[in-house]
Amino acid sequence: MTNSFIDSKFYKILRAVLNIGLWLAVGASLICFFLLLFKPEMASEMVFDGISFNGIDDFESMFSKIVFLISNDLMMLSGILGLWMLRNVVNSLKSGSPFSRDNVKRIRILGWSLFAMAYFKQTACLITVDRISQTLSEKGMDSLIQAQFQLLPDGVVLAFCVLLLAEIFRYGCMLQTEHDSTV
Amino acid sequence: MPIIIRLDRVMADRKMSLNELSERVGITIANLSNLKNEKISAVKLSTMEAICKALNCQPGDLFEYREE
Repeated sequence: MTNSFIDSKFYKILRAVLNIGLWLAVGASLICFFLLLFKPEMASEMVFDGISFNGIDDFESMFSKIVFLISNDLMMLSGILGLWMLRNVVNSLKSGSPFSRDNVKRIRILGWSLFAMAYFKQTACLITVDRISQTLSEKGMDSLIQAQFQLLPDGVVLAFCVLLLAEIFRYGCMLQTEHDSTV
Repeated sequence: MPIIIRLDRVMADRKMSLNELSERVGITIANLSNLKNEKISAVKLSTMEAICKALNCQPGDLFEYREE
């Protein structure tokens, strides 16, 4: 990478945001995990995708609670993994050319983590909607909200784009190696 | 690789050092050294032309194919 880009303010801000963001995400995920595990009453108020729900009934069964906890934690873990990979890609720009095998691997992991995240998020959403509809049914409004399983949720398209980018990057990496070994 | 680079032999025949060849051809000693030690996968035609001109030889003098 050119020195002008590495020395630029944009690159420094990007690195700082990713480094701080990663540790904030790790901290927030740990807090969320322990709160849901040991203080389940906190889950009566939920913030999901910027929408908050208050006064939701407890989980219908222990099974749905466990599935929610697992899918929620796996969603957070895949998000953190993706953020970690992105941070490593940005940090690797400092060492020179971005076309390295490590970066191809990182972008691939980022793509798969986005892929996993989309389905874990959908599972958590389905259970949340189930809980909300349970609360609403007690008030006679059971058909107000419904959720269906989607084969291709929103994040999957983004994941496919990132995986495609990884393949383009792999080709770029191959060209770079060929160029470096030509005199 | 079955292609053997005979640059060192041609250089020795012409009594030319790597430093002198590097100056004449216009590529770095590091790259010439990589070429001599077969640490490369391709040679540009422009590089071949400059080496052949500097060493007064044919491309065939620089390479040899030996079946593995």
